[in-house]
Amino acid sequence: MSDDLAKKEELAKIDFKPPKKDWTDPTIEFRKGSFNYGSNPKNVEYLDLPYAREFDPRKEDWNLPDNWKEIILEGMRDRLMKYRSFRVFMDICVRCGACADKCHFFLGSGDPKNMPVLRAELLRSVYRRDFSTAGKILGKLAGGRELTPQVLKEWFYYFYQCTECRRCSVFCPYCIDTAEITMMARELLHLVGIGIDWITTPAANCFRTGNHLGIQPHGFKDSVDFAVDDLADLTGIRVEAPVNKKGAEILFVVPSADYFADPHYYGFLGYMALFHEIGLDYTFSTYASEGGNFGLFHSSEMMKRLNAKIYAEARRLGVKWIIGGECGHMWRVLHQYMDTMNGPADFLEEPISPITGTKFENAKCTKMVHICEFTADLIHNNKIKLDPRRNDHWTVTFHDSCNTSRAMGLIEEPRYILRQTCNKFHEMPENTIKEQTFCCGSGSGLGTDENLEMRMRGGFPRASAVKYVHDKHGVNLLTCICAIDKATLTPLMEYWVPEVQVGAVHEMVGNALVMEGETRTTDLRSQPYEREEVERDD
Amino acid sequence: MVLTVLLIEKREAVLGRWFDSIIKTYPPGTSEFLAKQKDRFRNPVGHAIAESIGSIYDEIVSEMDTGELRRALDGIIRIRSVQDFTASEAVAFVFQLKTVVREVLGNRIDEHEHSHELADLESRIDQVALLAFDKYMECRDKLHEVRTNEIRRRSEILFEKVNVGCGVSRHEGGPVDDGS
Ligand code: SF4
Ligand code: SF4
Repeated sequence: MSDDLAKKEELAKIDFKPPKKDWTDPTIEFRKGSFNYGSNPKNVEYLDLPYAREFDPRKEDWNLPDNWKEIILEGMRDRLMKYRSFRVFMDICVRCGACADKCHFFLGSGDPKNMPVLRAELLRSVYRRDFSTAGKILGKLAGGRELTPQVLKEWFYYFYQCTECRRCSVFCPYCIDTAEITMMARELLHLVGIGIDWITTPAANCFRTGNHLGIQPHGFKDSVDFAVDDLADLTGIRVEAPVNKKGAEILFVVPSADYFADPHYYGFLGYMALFHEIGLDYTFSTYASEGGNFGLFHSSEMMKRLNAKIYAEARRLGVKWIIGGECGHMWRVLHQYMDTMNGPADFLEEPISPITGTKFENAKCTKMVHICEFTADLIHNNKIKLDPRRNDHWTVTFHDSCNTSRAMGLIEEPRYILRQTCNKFHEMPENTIKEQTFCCGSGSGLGTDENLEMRMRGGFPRASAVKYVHDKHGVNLLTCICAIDKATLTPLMEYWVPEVQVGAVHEMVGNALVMEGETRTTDLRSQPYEREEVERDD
Repeated sequence: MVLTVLLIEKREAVLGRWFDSIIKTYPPGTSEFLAKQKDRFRNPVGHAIAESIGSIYDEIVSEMDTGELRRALDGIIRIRSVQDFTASEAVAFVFQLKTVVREVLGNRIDEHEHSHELADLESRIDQVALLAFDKYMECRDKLHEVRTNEIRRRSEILFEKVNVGCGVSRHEGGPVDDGS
């Protein structure tokens, strides 16, 4: 004890202020817990990507190819020509600072280089020096920086501290999308063989077997059968869950986590119960066994390659249209890029709900409907029977995932479903939800265990809003419609607000759904209902 | 005047200065922001620090209730445990209170008259610092637990029930057989 006391007197003399550092200084300390491991070279090769090699960010020498600088600058030139938005974003920022305090990584870490304007500046400074006339002449005076190995390391560090969530762009008067700048930076790094394994390995698995985990067709079929058994135990009803059924009306594509991870799985059971109850003619596909697309976090080319299977499988199975499950970045790809990348899907029909007759006009191009749109329409048309009391053990709030809210504007449908299936629903504060939602802090491939400290920082703004509704209303369930969220909000809650669990919107549907002939006494997690009388009263 | 009365009277001034000294542990642009933005959801770290040190201070000048202190320390230490601080940097803010009190009270502290109370105050601050160390360790332990649980959860249903295919492994810094 006396040693402790002696030590703390010394501590009191510490100079608490961090050293003043010029932002242009690119030196990075790769501290444990705040960066991701480099790609497995085997999988880099598998994807036919260049410069596959062992690469440890902590080591001084990154074994860059000799002409790395030319490769990067050439890559930048190509992209400036190919993407007008990239060029505009490099040129028009007036440094007004409106975005500066909007990034969850800045808010949680306090690191100024996590201000979106500075994050972009890391790339922009190189652009300015090598591509703008003023920069070529004035160099540093015009805000230009030379591209050095240190700068490259800094890019790696900070562009993998951006979850491409686009919150900053909501506040930018010029709509500059820092997420797109991050995407460009990551593409450039890949040109010289620098990437992270949590993106490369799932992408390689996905390319090989159709899903991020590398589950083969028989494994997928087993997991669906297993879920059918589970649902039979829980409800007394054995549903049909067709796999690779040719001629089915609808192809159903889910993120792979739905059928193997907790708590996603309960939402998966919810989908299957719902489809059974309405007698939907649908099928899973063993190759389109992953809606998620880690290619989005890698490069546009990779995203296109991984996405192609969805239309290919729809064509092979001869379905009319497609429904997609609860996933965030999967929907960003489907909604914003699929049609241009791998369309037109003119071999499919415009989606019409076979149960309600509703025409999903918004899905005219892609022919793909979000499960929440589909279910909200069923409820709206009174096509299913719901007993929300079965969710009375949950006091629920809803986290908008960045992609479904900001990238596709799917804001009201999940809320409508939750209000119809749960009696106790409370919103988090307005400036933390809908378009202004705070990211989970682990999206875009950053959800690794080696990066956990950084994720806890980035997720803190979200967690702090959850804590607020937990303290105020007793919220104990954070629902969402994104597979990455379900995986990463769970540890986030465990650290910041351990009283709150994470669940799927369709878990709430599955719980509340009154099924013909059912014998149920528990929810989909095998927890008994709160009240006896909740059992069917008809 | 007894020191405790002075400390209560000067609560806001002490807390203001203590807060300033804590946010100065962040880089310049950040500390300005932490001080200025008052909306708790737009500035969750600043809000948590302010709330936390307010409660800590109130306990120091009153009951020193350990439960309350632990709860109050949690608000700030849980954050600093995952930020870019070493263990000593994460908890050092507690000791700063000693300096802050002297700065704020200035010549209203009479070394002679208040010597006993000062010693008592400093020993209370020391006790809080020790609790802060405990809290830091608790948060770091929790982090390890979170990490382990995450790895387990990621594949629980898969490994237990499903016939797994190829390629589930990932690279952890060294060459890995991906099973294919
Ligand atoms: S809000 Fe837009 S214009 Fe303003 S600093 Fe940020 S990126 Fe630049
Ligand atoms: S896109 Fe999101 S993570 Fe990236 S800089 Fe903007 S707010 Fe931060």
